[in-house]
Amino acid sequence: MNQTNLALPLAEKTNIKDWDFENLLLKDIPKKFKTEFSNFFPEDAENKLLLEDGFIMVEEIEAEGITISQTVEPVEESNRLIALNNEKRNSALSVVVEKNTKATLYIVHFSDERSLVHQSHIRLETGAELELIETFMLVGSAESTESYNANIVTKVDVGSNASLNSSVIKLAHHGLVYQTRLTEVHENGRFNGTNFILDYSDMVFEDFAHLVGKGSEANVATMAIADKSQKRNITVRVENFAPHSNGNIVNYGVVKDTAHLAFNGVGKIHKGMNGGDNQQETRLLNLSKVAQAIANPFLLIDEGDITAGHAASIGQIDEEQVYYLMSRGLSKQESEKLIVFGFLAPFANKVTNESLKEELLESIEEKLG
Amino acid sequence: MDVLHISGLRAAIEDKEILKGVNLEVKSGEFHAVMGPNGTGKSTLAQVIMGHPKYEVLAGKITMNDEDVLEMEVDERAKAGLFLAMQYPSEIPGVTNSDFLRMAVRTKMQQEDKRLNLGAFMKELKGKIGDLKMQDDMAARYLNEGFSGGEKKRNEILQLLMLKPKIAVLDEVDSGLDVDALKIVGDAVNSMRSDSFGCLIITHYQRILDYITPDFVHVMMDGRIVKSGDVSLMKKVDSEGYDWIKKEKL
Ligand SMILES: Nc1ncnc2c1ncn2[C@@H]1O[C@H](COP(=O)(O)OP(=O)(O)OP(=O)(O)O)[C@@H](O)[C@H]1O
Ligand SMILES: [Mg+2]
Repeated sequence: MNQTNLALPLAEKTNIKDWDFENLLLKDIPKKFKTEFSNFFPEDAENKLLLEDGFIMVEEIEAEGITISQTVEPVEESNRLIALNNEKRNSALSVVVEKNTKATLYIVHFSDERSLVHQSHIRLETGAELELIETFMLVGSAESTESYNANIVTKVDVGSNASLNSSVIKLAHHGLVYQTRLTEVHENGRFNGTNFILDYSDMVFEDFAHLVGKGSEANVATMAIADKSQKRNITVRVENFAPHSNGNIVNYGVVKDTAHLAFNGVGKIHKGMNGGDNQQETRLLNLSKVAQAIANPFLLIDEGDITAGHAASIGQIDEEQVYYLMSRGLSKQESEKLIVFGFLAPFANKVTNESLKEELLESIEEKLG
Repeated sequence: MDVLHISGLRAAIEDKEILKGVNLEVKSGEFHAVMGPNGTGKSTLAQVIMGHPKYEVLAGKITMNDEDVLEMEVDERAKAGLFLAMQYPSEIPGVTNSDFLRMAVRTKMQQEDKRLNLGAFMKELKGKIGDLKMQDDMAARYLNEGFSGGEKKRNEILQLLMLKPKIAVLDEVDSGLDVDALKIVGDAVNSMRSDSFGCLIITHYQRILDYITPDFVHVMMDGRIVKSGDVSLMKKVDSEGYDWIKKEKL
């Protein structure tokens, strides 16, 4: 398909017209083992996968009923960047979790020699339960802090009565990223998506969930910190395509320096999908006078017999709080950091995996400087 | 010996002059009480000593052991040994009382070239929470969030006990306390009495005298200390109010 006929992603509230998504470094490289990878995984991880520049370098799966491959069917090209992904893809991963299988899987994506143009397909069959912790460490060349642009497309299928807890953690990256995920949740299936966007890239990030089965549920929680001159546009959309389905969006953001962070939250309940629920909450903290923190909630409702709501707040650090903490001997910087941690606590406390939580708190600390 | 010295202090908030020339000296080993009608500038004095950013110092000096306090950032004042138990402490959601106190105590110990022993810290914290008859979950709760008025006051005293400053200003720690709490807080403050601790207690009530006997009592009116004396001054104010002082000044 000709990409140019297609539009860019919507990315409302951010002008991405001149963003150079097509500037990808796409050279052929041989598969070779370069890094000591074991420290990317917690010690007790039973199922782990590591992809480096598109090659599977670590594949240790102890659980029965998980099938890994590197062939994926191209996804529907709903915008120019997905078409670009289909055309230039240099990394692919398919994970199928068989009926009634229960497992925890760690996946690390590592790239350092070329742009990552990746597609993941994750499929949970009926009754399967997967805890998926996926980390993107796109470091670029070791000599510079510039990393290569990336394009990441994920398709997720949560079968009936299946349950997926998916954590996506983005670290280190400095380039420009387009990352999108489309999840379909079938009857009585449940999808809990948690996104930690803590890297250094500019990005358009989309997380779309379609509740296609009766009684299905999607909870998408996203935390992003934007600093320096970072620009990031995040859209989370949950659509009720089935009756008695529940959607819930939670966004937490911290903006510093001259950064730009826009959260678009879209809840849509289609006609006839009675008994549905769609809620969203966005909380932003702006640490700078010149940074842009934008909350842009939408609720589109074509059905009467539902419940829905949204709340959004954008706040500054309270000077009284800083004064209070400083009066106990903490420096201004320590005080502000503590207040930001406090702001993020309700989000961080949702993470039940202790080693993951620790790693995240460290990354947040690093990011807050 | 530590000396907090205030002379000719004038300060304003929102361009309104509140302190109109305050002179006061607090030395370690001394307990001072400051009384005065509502709105006369007692809290303003406390906040200016600690360095609240909203207040503007127009004239005068504050020194701690001859060092210029007014030149110091708020945290430097704390590091110099000053402490303020606030009349209206801030709430900090998401930050637990114990995490916060641990950071504050660690900072203080680093300054003294000591290292914080977590076990010892937790033991001391637990002990002091017990002494103050605070609920056990106070350490795990978010700093002042949703605390009742009295709980907040006790939490200020908890911080005082844990941080062991050289000179403390206590702004109405006895207000809003029930009789039992008043005894607990009064005894706790009194337990701090030593040759190396000085205290300025802002209060409206002489009932605090049941637990703490100040060495000096000052009455503040309209931004100045207009009368100083001993405990008998406090008793007189308690029975007769402030009118007689106003008349005396006319
Ligand atoms: N932001 C402000 N803008 C204008 N005036 C203010 C502001 N904050 C305080 N004031 C005024 O400063 C004066 C002194 O207040 P302060 O809190 O120091 O009184 P106080 O002696 O502590 O009274 P109380 O016994 O009621 O605690 C009051 O008249 C108060 O209204
Ligand atoms: Mg007051």
